[in-house]
Amino acid sequence: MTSVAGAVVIAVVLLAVVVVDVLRIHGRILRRLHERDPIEDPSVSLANREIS
Amino acid sequence: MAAAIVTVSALLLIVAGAAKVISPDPASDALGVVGLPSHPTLVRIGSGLEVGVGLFALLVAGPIGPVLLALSYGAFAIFIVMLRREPDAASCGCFGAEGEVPSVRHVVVDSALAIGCLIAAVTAAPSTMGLLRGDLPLGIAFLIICAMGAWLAGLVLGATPLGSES
Repeated sequence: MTSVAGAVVIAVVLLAVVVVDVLRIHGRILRRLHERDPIEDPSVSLANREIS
Repeated sequence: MAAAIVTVSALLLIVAGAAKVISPDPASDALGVVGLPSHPTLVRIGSGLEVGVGLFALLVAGPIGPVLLALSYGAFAIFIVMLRREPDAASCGCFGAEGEVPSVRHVVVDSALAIGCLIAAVTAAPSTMGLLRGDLPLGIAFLIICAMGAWLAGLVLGATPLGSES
């Protein structure tokens, strides 16, 4: 039973590292997409409209 | 815990060795960069030995298997440190593919596995076959979880595009 618990601990630690990797890659993709096609901030756009 | 480390290490070594037997060129290039013998046939022989060490550690009880695993992972950690010092090192080829970055993560994981295997050898941790013989359902559960651990370790070390991104 101790060996199975040890295996579970190792798998969970490695899974946590993989999840962090996935989140980092996801963030990187979102950042690149934003750089390529920036989403207009609606509040800024409204303020500009009021000035003009 | 030590038995799990030995089983995960052995499964990972078998997969990595088999991948390099099929595709030795990236590892051959990496060995050439650090000035070690790098002929693809030599890489295939070494990778075949990796598979042999992994199988031995899984099947044979006693401290020899874990010690061989510890030596293998210790050698990998030293190799990655040497490779990281070379500006031309683009890939380590650990899993037989291009684009596997020789990262600090490799050094940390390899060193941790080497230390874990040494501890298993010293503490006479039960072997995989011993666990399977002792209690078959529990042994199978142990083997499945260790296989998942080895797969995750492969992801962490960059055996797939997921890992090589970082």
